[in-house]
Amino acid sequence: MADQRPDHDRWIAWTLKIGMWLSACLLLGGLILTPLTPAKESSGLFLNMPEFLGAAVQGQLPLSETLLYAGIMTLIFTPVMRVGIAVVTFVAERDGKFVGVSVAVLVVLLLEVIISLS
Amino acid sequence: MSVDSLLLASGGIVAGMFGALLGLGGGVFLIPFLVLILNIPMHQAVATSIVAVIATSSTGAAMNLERHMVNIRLGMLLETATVAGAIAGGLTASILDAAVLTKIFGVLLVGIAVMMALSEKLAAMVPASDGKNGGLAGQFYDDATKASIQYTARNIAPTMFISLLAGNVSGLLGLGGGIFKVPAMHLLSGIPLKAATATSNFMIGVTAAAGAFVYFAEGHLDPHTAAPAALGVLLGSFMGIRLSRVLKARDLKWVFVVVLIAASFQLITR
Repeated sequence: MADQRPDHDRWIAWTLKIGMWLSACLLLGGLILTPLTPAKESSGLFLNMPEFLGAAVQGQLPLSETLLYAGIMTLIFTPVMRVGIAVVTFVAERDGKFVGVSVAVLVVLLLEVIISLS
Repeated sequence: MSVDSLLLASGGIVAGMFGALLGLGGGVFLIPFLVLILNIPMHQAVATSIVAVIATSSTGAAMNLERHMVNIRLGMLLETATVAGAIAGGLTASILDAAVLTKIFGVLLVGIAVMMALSEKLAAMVPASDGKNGGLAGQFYDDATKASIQYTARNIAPTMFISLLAGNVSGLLGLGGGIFKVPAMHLLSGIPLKAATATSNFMIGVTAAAGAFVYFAEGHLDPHTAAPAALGVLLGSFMGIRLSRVLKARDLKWVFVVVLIAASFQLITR
């Protein structure tokens, strides 16, 4: 079997880097804004994913909370995106066996997301 | 940033630095810090650790991918097992009492301390060979020997089983599970240690994400705890990687073994 093409390694590496930097910026922004947010607004909310998305869309969360939750979600979804990019690289390499393997991992993760959202 | 955030970030830095010095994620040290020192509930501590694990794994994996150390195909194949294990682990944790989860973590820390104590002997052991070609070849350039190393993965089935268990530990207790996967890949499947470590690190992010979705759905994820801890662990990992160039992990290993056993005793008797 042919080895992975180096440029495909870099595609996946860049996906991880972009996700990491984005989430780090969001988390840092949220932490910096937290002390500036009135205490009653940031009262230790423990939202799950659908509750956060609902509250964020309706503008019910202060900016600091929105940034923190968005940063956490970006962080958790970064490896999922990485699996998605791996599917694309295996398709580009015409490696049907590993397209199947990576699609299986992606499907399980996406099913978990759907169940979490419900 | 608030004082609490700075304290969490500081704990994360120390945990990430110690973890990186020993080639582990920061979770092994972060969870005892959160539970024993900050009195954070166990489920919340595990959820926090799992987020920190994603951060360190993603950063380390990106660096290893650019150096072509990762066997992506092997990693994807083993992820089918680790993801299933992580989801099962996360769901199990959600029905377990916090006290039980704390004791399980304490017992596991003893196992990790023993693995750490035996790490040099494990690394020196000759990988198994069954003479079959598993079809998962890989190669990387080894900076230390200045040579291109080629290898073929063998005996995938037992390594997948260990990966399933490692995934379960990840979802249940918020750890990366590399301490179990790396010896399995090296000893059972004949993957060179450097490639096994890089591939394990590559897999950990996806495994931890699978567990994190369960904790997020259950409402155990407090962003005010997870954010500073994750950023701290990330910074600490970078510092640990730099420190590891001047400090030998072997010199510190026994200190960490004692720390882990002391923490496990505190958690089990808590």
